[in-house]
Amino acid sequence: MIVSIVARFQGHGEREVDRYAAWQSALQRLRDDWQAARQSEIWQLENYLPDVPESQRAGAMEDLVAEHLRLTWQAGVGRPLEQYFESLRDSFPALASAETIPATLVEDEFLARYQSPHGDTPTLPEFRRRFPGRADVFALLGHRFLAAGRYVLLHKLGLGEMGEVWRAYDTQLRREVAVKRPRAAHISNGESRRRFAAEAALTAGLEHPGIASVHEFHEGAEPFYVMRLVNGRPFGERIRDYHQAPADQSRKDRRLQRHQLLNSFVAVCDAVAFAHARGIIHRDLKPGNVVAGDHGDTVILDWGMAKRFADAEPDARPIVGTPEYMPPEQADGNADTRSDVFGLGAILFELLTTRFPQPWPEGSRPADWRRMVREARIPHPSQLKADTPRALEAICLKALAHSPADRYQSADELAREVRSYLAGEPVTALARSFWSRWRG
Amino acid sequence: MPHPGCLASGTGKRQTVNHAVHDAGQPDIEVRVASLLRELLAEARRSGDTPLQFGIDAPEIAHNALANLQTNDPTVASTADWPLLRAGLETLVNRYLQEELPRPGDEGPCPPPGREWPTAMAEASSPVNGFHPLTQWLEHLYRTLRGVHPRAIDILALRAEGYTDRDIAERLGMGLRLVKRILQDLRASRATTRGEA
Repeated sequence: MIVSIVARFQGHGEREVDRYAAWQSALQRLRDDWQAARQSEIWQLENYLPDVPESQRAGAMEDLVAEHLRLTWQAGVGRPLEQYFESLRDSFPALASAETIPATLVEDEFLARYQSPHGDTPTLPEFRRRFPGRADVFALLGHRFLAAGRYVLLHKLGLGEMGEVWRAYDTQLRREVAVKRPRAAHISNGESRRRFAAEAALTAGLEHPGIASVHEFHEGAEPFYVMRLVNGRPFGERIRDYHQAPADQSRKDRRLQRHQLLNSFVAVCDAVAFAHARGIIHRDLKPGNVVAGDHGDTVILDWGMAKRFADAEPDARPIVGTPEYMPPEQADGNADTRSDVFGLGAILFELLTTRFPQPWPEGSRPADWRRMVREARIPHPSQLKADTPRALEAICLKALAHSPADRYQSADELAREVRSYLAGEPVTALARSFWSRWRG
Repeated sequence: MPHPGCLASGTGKRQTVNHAVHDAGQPDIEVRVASLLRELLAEARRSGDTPLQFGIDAPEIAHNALANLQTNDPTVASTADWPLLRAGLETLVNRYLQEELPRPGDEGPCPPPGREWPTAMAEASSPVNGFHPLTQWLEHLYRTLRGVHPRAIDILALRAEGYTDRDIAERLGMGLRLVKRILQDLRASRATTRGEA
């Protein structure tokens, strides 16, 4: 039953009758027309409604106005909501007056203006003046301001187990930033707040181009910290792109693309080495925690599981990490810098094969994850991808060695090996693997 | 629209274990189901480019989703006949993909357990193990969702993860009011289903 439910709705949902298809398609046509630069034709939003059923038109028009606000402000030709009133007065009177316009639509204008590349930064007093007596509007917008109005929350970038990350705007320095704050359920929990503050302090100590730097931490009823915003895509997506390259891609292009990924991987190793030099281990390295920036930068995110390895204080969370990427000693609560080397090896493994190194074995129970991690037999990457270069395979397997003593002893050492490979120099792991095979 | 993947964490990524803060209390059945749906969606997203248009590797999705659910909720592990359930799930998925089972929009009610569904599944969802209420709830949810917008499940899953309606609209490239309208329909449909029951 469970799967029948899921399968019916996963990927097969489009077979159902979509009673809101015309609504969604009206929005899409508006976007398409805007893309096609037919901008002068689309100030009359009612032109998009003929196919939308009568009972849905009010909602669809609200969505059209919101989308239009977004598109026009982004293009630098946006107008305030009041300028829509005239055209909406006859058919949609509720949308045509400051007293009745839905607060969410006012919020749409507010957000559209903040996200405009032309630097518009509307303030609460402006909206108070334009929409007098609208407590619902001020409440809605007021929730978006932090630190006495310095930061404006624009949209949520992601939700983790403990915290949420927002794209935000720093009104003082006039730049976009990322804001992390605990999820609502954790705000009143003293231990969660303490850990959140510790995470901010720990990350703030890591000033490195490969680590999202922390600008400041705000304590108080609703703590948050401000970080550099990284525009880019998860490293895992870049890896998928590489492996899903068109069949007619030349060998040279493929090699170049792989080298690009390997250079990013080396950058990740460097950032981890830097953290280790500061006495910090990450404990949850995986492609999902790395962002490949739009401008060639590669940044490690989410230091929420990190710890100082010299801390005398017992670790409140001795076992953290992701089983598919976790070294055996970490499952026993004994992580050290070599555990991060294993995590880096796991990223390299995924880069070479698109798979994670420790899949759940057939028939295993997830409750047995510790045993799975301890007893994992990591396959040779070439068994999964025949074209894996032998030198890279040797590097990867050495980083993923079961015993920490058999791994690279530092992230630096691993980075050096990959650099050697990229420079066409001999790789020590390959020589070692050759001799160990020769010796039988 | 959000910048795709920028700083994204949470949705679709492999689950992080954090045992020291795990709440070992007995979770509400709806929480379990929400968690299962979330995990199913996360696994499905992992295997595709968009929330809805992905190729299904159904057995893997089902297996990983339940694996994550069980990792997060030890009470499931303590009561369930796990291999039997998983075998049943995989059989069901494969049969579904082979067009043997009814599709949405087909005439008639859901087939009764024991006739169309594999025996393994019927056994797995029997009252003697902890999955019985879960499967019942999911069946109820399915009946509720039937006839509701195809994206209702995506919307519900994102809500279960903690996203607001506006976040969901941005993530799915939909209008905020359309998301709200679909949720309204869902609530109305739920009320009808409850009334019928």
